[in-house]
Amino acid sequence: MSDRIKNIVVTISFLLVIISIFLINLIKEDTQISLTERRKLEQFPKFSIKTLLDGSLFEKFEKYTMDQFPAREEFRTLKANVEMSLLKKQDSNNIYQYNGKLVEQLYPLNEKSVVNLTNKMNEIKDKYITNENKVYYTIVPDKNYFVNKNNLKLDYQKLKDIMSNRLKWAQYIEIFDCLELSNYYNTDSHWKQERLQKVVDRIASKMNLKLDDNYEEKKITDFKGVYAGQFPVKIENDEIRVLTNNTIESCIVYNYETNKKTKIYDMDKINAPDKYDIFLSGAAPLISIQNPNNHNDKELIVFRDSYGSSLVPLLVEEYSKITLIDTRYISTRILAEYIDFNDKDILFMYSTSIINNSTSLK
Amino acid sequence: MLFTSISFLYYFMPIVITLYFMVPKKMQNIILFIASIAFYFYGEPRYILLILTEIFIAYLGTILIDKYRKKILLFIVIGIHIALLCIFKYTDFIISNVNSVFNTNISLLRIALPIGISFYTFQILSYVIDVYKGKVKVQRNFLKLATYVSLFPQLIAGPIVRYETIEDELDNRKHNFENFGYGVSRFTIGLAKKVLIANLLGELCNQFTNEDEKSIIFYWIFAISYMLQIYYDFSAYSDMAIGLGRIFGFHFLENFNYPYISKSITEFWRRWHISLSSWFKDYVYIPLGGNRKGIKKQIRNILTVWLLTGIWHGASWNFVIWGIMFGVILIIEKVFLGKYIEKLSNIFKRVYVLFIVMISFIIFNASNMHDAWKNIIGLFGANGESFINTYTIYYLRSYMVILIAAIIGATPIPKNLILKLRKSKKINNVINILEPICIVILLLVVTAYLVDNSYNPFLYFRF
Repeated sequence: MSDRIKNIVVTISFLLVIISIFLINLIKEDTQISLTERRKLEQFPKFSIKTLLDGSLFEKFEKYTMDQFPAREEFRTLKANVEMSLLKKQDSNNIYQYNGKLVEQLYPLNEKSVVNLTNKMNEIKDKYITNENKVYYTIVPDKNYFVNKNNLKLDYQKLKDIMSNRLKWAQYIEIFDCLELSNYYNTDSHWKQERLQKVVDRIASKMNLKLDDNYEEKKITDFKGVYAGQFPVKIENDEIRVLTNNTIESCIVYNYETNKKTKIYDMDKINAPDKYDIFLSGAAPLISIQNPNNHNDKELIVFRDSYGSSLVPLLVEEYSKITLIDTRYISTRILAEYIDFNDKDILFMYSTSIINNSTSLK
Repeated sequence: MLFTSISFLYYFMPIVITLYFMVPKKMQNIILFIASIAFYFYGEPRYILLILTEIFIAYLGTILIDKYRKKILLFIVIGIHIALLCIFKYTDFIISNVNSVFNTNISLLRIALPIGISFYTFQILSYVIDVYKGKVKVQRNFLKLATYVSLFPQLIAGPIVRYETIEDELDNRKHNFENFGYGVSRFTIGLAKKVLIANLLGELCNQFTNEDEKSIIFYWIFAISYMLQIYYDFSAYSDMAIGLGRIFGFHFLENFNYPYISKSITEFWRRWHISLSSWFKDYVYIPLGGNRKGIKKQIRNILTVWLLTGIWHGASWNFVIWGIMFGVILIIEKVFLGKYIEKLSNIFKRVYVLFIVMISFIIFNASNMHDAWKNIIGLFGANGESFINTYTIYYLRSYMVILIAAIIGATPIPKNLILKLRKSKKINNVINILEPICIVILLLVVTAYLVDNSYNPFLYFRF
């Protein structure tokens, strides 16, 4: 190819790319939400003289052009592949791929955050907990804990030590050794309910619960977790599978905020952006699970994050009622209005990702 | 507007290029002027009047200078432009220094820096002075002068294009596939340098800044990465500007010439930001007497130029110190060190230059001298950190490919290799086939990074 022809080819191919994408941009209908990223996409900004002159019109337009770009998902996948395969980066936006799983690299240990969480727990203890209560706490490890391949990690032992030194009034239930990486979803941060038997057994033995492990395992739906959106590479999708039995089926979940009653596994969430919301209908400040098959009046109060949504149903057999509190969404100061703590078992259950970033707790 | 944005690549460019090549030749400057004003307005709506006023003052001023040939007119026009630059760039710096010296409490005005003011002011000054000196003819067509000053490819981060460089091309420029093809390749390479190398090195530098667990090796990685980042960032902008200029038929002069292979600091400044150093040489150093009036005056002139160079880069003491540091080193090189450096082997000469430049950019990058000092002594373990730790190893591994590519790309090795290969007709044909493919691939990969954007500021936009 002569230099002259090359220049013509370069010119035409460049113009073809920019002009055709410009035209596609004009024709293409705008998308409202990104399912993979679970967020609303920027829409064409409304014009006003004020927004024009203060520059906010163009700022919004900038975001709009990125969010509504044709084949956006494919371009995001291309970027992730270039970063990992060509540039050999160890992570992309702090997420890496390991044995077919996407793992978030949670580090470094934020000691202030751990102390902050224990302060919140101590506040709850001072305000609501007496010697009559049996109190336990457990820590749910993140996926990064199970990978030992050049990845940066939290100092998990230090995290546990800070917690145990500051929470002497509660019995610690160690579950790190009950889990392995395969117990978590490939594309999500959460653990799989159907792989939690060891964890349930450990909790049951420490809390003296007699639980039946007779469950039926059901596939509910295919599942693309939160990391699939953040790190858009080709990876085997997950399935949401649930463990169920007569007790679980007959339980009623009550949401104090919405006054709605649902089942433990909320099939309305099959089409939700985050299908993990099938477990107890997703994030909620305060819910209770009533077990009509148990009349022993034994109650459990769980301070939890989203990992609790899939685990707690497996403890329900032993209790007539379980109350779940997510202190990311409700202030601990107003709990007495809704909950009587007398004589209840209490379990604090937080994942390392919340413990290491506890500023969201109220 | 950023060159490295979806709005520029896939909205602004197709519209402007289509309109530009559709209209009659006479109208092309009007399209360029409107496009340039729109380009500036998009990024800086409130300062559009400032740049237009400055152009108008220069327009009127040079007509009067040309007519009356009075030095006082030259000083007035220059004075107005320098005053505006000082007001918008240095007011708060001056107030805060007055406050600390005289223990006063004058409120800062918090004037936002108009983007590109340092660049376009210097273009205007060079034009005004050249008209006075009779080096260029006065431009009586406001549109053409405004097109020159505001020409969007070089408006906000250089290179500082002198009027004489494009005087003829404002009226007569050629549009052909050779110019367009070269322009596209140069522009796309600039895009890739910025998005795929400079931005990623910037991420690494940010990781260093945010990392509590530093190590001696990490200080070195940071220093080298920042040095490479600023080179790729700024030279990429110049590549894009030169490429865009060529698409529209303008030939801007080169602004970088592999500065990191220099064998002395004097040579480094002949290869780094050439348009700025040659501006200071022609409009400050030589008018002050240059090296013609004895060594004492030469030293004074060098220090003046480098003090101004430092201040030009920013209203902060670290820039002043950065500039003076280069002035002092250049004097030392000229007075006695030069002859000893000459005797060194090339590798030592280069290591000497790279070390000085690396230290200088640590000062340049720091938000204050305390941070600069900490990052300099950290290189030698004086902050008490370990030699290396797991964090350092992780980041080194994660950015190794980019670092190696950046180091190789900062030398003329790839360019020379291609030139050598092109000597064979067969290989030249193969390279010519590969070039358009590579350009499209680079454009698409850059687009992928821009669509999923996280880090994308241009370092030289703050000047």
